[in-house]
Amino acid sequence: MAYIEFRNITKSFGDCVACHDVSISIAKSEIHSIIGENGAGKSTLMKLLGGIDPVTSGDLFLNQKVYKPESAQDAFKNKIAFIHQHFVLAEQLSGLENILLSYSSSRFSLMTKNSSEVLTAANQILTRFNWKIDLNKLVSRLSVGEQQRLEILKALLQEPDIIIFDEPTAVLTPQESEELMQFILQLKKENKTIILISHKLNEIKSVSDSISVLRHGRLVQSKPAQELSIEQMAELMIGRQVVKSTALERPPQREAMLSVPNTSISLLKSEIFGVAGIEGNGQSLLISRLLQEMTKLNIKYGDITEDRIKLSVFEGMNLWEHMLLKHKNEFLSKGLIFELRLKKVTEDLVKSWDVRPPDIDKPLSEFSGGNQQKFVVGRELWNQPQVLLAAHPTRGVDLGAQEHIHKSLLEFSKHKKAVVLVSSDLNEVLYLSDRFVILNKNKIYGPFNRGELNEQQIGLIMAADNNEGIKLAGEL
Amino acid sequence: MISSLNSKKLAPWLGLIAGLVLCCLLALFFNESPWHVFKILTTSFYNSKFDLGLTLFYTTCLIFSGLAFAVPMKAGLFHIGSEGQILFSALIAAYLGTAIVPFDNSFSFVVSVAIILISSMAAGAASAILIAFFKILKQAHEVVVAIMLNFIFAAVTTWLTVNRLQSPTSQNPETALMNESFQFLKNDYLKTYFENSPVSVFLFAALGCCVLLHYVERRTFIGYKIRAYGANPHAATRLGFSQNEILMMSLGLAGVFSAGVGLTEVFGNAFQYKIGFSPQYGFLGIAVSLLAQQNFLGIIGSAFLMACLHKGASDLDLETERLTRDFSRVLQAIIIFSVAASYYIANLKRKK
Repeated sequence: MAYIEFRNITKSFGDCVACHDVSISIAKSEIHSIIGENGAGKSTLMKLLGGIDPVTSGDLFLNQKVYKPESAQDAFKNKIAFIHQHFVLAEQLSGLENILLSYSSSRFSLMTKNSSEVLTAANQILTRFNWKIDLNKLVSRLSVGEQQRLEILKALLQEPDIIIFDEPTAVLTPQESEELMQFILQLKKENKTIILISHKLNEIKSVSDSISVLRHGRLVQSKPAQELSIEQMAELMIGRQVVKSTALERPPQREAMLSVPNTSISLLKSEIFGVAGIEGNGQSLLISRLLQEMTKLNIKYGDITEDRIKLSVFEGMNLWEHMLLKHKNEFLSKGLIFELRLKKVTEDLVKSWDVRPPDIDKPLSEFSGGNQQKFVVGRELWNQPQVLLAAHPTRGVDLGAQEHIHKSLLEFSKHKKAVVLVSSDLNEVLYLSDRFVILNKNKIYGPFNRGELNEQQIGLIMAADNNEGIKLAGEL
Repeated sequence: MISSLNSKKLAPWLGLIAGLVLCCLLALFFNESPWHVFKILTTSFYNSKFDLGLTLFYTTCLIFSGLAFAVPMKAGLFHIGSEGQILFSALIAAYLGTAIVPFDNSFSFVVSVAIILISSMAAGAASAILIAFFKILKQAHEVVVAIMLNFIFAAVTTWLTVNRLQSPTSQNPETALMNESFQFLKNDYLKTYFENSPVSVFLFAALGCCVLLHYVERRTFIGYKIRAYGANPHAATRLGFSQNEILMMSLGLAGVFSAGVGLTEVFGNAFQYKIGFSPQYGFLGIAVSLLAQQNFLGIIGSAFLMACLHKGASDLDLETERLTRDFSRVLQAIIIFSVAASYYIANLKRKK
């Protein structure tokens, strides 16, 4: 019997239909996963359930009753908790203070809930799951995994029946992800209903009871998990078979191209050099050292920045303007802009990278994340640089585009060029890099050759407090 | 789609009407006839050729000060230091006008005029670049620095005028008149046409600046660079654009436009520096620019609107019994406020 039911749900934003006639039913105390590419409508659908956005047409049922949330507070009262992909925590406050903040009352009040009561309740949950978080520590001092637990703790204190996880493992190490999956199974045992949004198919396959696949806002499949293989899921998600490109054979002798000052790292021609590590362990320092060095040596480089919104996208400027800003010398004659050529080139780029919608006059900030990234990658590769700095090149990008980006990185590195691949997605680093280093607390471990370490070993180096005895390439 | 476009175009006009209505109703509290107030506010800008000329003079000053705000705004800077720069550049122009005596030939005369114009603009630019320096060297916020500099320049120019440059023939706090030969705009065509009102060829210079900037913004790389910096400074520096260059350039240009106001007054109207000549053009310029949403051509329209209002509001003081000059400013603010609010409301509707 359906506990939560989406019946013919359609959600549109203006002319854009994000979910089209979706019907899903979810049984009580099961783990139901919703998968799909970016922009397939997964998060939108969950926001309807979480009361964040209103439904355009169709009905939601909760426990056989019509459910019409008008705000996130309504969802709260119906015992639905939403764990967002981006944490909603005040970094300057302690864990406990953040928990107190989450007890918002509908009436204006200067009083907070009694903090010692909340602390005992929180500690009860912590011991129940055998978690250790120092609730008096500032949130900014907690690790990403701890922050997520805090976020979950906040939700659990409200004693929800339904918990929605939106891409929970995107920022976690393999070990942390594994622990989280165990935790989710434990929640299920306690009769909670879990909705899991993700595109990491391995994880989903291992914990889910049933799976719904969305593509372009439509439901393409909703089935018990054991009836779907990982390959089938991938195929349903993107609507065709995924062809994984294989790593390249490299010439045995390669020249060095550039070395990073104060470290023993040097980049070789024709290689992809991976940088693994949990975010915030020195990636940005390493990147800025590299950029400085390349500017100093006058090396032409492409720069896929580590934070697209903050470092690559100019609010309100359209695609061809972004093209101009990066490749100004190609489009200026006597100080004036050669607009016809600029627009032509941008149009070609958009076509060859399948950026949707193919409208070069639309501001880049209004494209979906995946399409923004496709455009940025295409733009950075456009003038054949010698070195490509690719930081998280496939973050927030759907499988199809991921495939395209991976292929072009491999293709690019063939021609005596170097790629520096900074990524917190371990699979990506392992899959693409010829050599790689691991960052942990501003220390660089490595370089290791392909196949020298397995995923577990790398995970340990990434997260360990002390890595004595492992070769060090320098400190940042 | 069509209706939303229309509502966006109509919005400022509706806002203007709403503001006027509100003003007239306020007049009731002062036992003035709303109709009378309305008539003054809406018609006094063209009562005579002289009046229209005066309005156009205000327009000139407001275009310049609007540009002085709009250019740094493109780079994401909230530049409110125009008032101080106006005073400083005007005083420099007035002082050089009395200090330089050209030889009796046309070459010497042209060079002298050029020296005065360029020095005044350089003074404006320098006083604006000070803000950039503080921002670059000490990471000081431009708003705070600009406010402080406004006070400093007001004090310095006043002290210099009264203690060093005071006209010996006048009781008022003002400098001596410029050299006779520099007062050539007294007989310029516009002035004669508008019955010797303060308007001068600087009006054309102001219009020219707007058109030129519009072109520069769209067709040259500098325009894109400044806009990109304004949209996202982090991303702009990552692309290798120099922050210092952009700050100095946009603020320097703003200073030059502030000097435009000073020159319009000193070179085109008074031919001397009078303390208190500016009815806070620098701050009215902010409203002009915001109303036009930093569109360089739009600034022409919004400057004219603001000039009409300014003229109307000043006349309220003379034409009514109880409305004071201060109150006329309140009315002016209400109208600006309601026009600005109308944009906001139109945008709000569009989003929904």
